[in-house]
Amino acid sequence: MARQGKRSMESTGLILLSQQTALQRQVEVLANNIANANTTGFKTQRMLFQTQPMATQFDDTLQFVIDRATMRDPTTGPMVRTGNELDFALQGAGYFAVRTKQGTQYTRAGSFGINSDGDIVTQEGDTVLSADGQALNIPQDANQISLDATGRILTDKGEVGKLKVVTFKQEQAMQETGNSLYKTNEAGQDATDTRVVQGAIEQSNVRPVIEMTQLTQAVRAYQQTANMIQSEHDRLRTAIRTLGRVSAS
Amino acid sequence: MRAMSIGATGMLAQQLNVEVISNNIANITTTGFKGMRAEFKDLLYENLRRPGSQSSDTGTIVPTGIQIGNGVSAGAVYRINTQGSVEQTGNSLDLAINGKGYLQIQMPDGTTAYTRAGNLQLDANGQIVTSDGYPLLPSITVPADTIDITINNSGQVFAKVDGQVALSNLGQIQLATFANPAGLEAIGDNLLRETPASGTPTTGNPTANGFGKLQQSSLEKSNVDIVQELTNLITAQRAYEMNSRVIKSADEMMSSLNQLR
Repeated sequence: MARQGKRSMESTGLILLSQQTALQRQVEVLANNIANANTTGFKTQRMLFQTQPMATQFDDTLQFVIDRATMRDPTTGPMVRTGNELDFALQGAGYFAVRTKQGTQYTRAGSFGINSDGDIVTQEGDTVLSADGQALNIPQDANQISLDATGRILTDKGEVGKLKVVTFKQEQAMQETGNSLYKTNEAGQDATDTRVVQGAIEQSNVRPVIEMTQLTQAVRAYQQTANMIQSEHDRLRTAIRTLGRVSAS
Repeated sequence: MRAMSIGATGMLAQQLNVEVISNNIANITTTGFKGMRAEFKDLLYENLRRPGSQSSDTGTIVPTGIQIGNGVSAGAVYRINTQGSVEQTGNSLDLAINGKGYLQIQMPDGTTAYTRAGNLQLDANGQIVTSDGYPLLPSITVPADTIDITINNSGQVFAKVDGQVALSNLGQIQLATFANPAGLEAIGDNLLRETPASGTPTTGNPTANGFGKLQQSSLEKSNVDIVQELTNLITAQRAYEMNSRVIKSADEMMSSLNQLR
């Protein structure tokens, strides 16, 4: 239901204000995308705008703009070879599972390392989980770490385990928690047709050209709105002045 | 306006990236050098969420709230421990390690440091030392009238001493390995030091299980790939410029507000 509202002298200003607030948010989202243009496994965020119709006492509606949500662009980022045997990239949908202090979280940033116990960990030191929910322990005397087609990590001292890769039905409902991690309440299923690639990482899927053009557009729209606020202000002032003169005479 | 500080975090991150890349390029000919890589992570998100907000009159719900990030920060700068190419030098005290392991070096303060730069020399007493004069561990002394030194794959050091028919065995070079070699701390001069993150060293003879083999008269070159570093440098520079554009844009927006009368 569109809410019943009153059309008043300030309506124009309020509509313009709603646009400025929305544009400011959009610039913040764009700025965050650009800042993360080099962050492993980062997904571009998009602002979702929506009109908020408001019926007036006359037979028309005022349309405000509100920033409804931020969505993630889930496309896979470009893959870059690093040659590091503990760098993993996911080809296809899915996430690596990581044990954090806040419970299991998920990431696509596969630049892993080993901790002093020999467990595979993220750059933050959180343990990367195997398919059966355990840590993946690399024996200290292992010379080589390799990965077979099914995602099992092998060393020359035997099999270590299979990397847990999960997919989610409601990917957009996952929340960013920073450090390239996501959390969700959904249990997730084991990914079936996602391939893990060793010695490569998935780069940020931010496309700078698009972000920069959108940034320019947003700034121009913002300036335009500011100009409109200015001319609206002038119009009101003139109206008040003129009407005041009429009643005085 | 948050966009300004977000742009600033981006510029700081790219600045660090350029610093890491320039250090890699500077060390392109450093023996035993391992390239570094800066890894970035997104900062905490601010949840301006409207849980279960309805997107239409029929009750469909927007599946996500509004999450606005606060920019980027450096996650880690880690060493890429791949094997560097091995180059023949002809010098009998040049050692390249092919595979896992570090040479152990006795530091002046009594601690042990680790290195893959095997350009060793003899000091005045005939002891095998690094180019900085720090002795190799376990210590090996070469007799004064030695004509030739042979070091085999498994680290045994033999000397052909003038006037002797048989080679004399001078000792055994041992290597140290770590659970997490990326956790070693670089202290300059091609030396690394043990940290809680690296784990404790395991020593053993070269070619033993889990250890690399030694190659005499060779040196392991830097594993830095110049082409890759230069491309990374260009990417970092452009990313820096883009972030400065963000700050400029935010500035323009604020200035258009300030111009309202």
